[in-house]
Amino acid sequence: MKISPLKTGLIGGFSAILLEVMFKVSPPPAYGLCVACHTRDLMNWIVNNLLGTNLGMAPVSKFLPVLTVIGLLIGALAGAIIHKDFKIRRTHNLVVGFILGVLVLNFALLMGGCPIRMALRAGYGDLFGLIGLVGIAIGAVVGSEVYLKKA
Amino acid sequence: MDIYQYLPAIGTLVFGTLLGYLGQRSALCFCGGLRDFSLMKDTWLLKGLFGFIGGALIGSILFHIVGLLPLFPWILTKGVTAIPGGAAGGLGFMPNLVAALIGGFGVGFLSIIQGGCPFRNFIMAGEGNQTAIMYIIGLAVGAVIYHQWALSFIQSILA
Repeated sequence: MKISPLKTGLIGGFSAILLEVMFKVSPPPAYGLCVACHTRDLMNWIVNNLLGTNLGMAPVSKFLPVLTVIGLLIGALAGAIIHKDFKIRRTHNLVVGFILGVLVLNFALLMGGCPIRMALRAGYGDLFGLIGLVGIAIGAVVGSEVYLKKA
Repeated sequence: MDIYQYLPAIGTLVFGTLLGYLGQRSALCFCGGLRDFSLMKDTWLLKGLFGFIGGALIGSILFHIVGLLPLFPWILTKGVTAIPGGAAGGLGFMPNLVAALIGGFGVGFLSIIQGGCPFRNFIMAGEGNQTAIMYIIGLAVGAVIYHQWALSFIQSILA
């Protein structure tokens, strides 16, 4: 049984606010969900504790890191196994995938969040959240027209 | 022991698992939605983006009314400033504008090449996609690179 992206989006957006208000996933504000930032928090928390470094992360993750992305993997794995969608595969070159991951994380933190946090910031009333979404939209459209259409 | 210190980790793990499941069932992807609309005028995935903003807006309004979200709406409580988190935080309008547009463009463009936004790649990793797994390892390494080198370099340019 499939679930519509609209429903998932509504639940996701509301969950993000719920996480901030009820589960104290803040500061900073509008931080209930952010795949890029929460990946950074988890990674840098681990590296700092292992190596004694002082890499940056959100204040909320100082004591224990936010575990959103672990949850995403668990939930997706469960959904894939239950509905028989799980299959080992690769869509393109692994090295390219890795490099894209490094670059996307840096661009995301430059603007202050992944697409999900920009949408969250927009819903929170932050003008720059909207501007970030415009940048994402332009990048996605250019990528679609330039890269996908010619492929 | 202070239970409140554990709330963020527990809450994000629980909701992360829920959203991971829903994300897998719906193939939610904001950049994918923009891609499908751009190429085929298909609005199926794009509704996920608007749904998310709508859900966040509804939640913000509700909790603001009961007094639990005093900073909402940000533009009225804090003016035309950016919610903290970006490289241009604390700087003026123009640095934040540049950071949002360039950062946004980079994320949007590269997500098309990868085949999905960061959220979608975690879902694909959970489905067994090796490229997505390498991508999220790249995200993690990128976080170290960003805070070790990139951030100070970027801020020296923006300031």
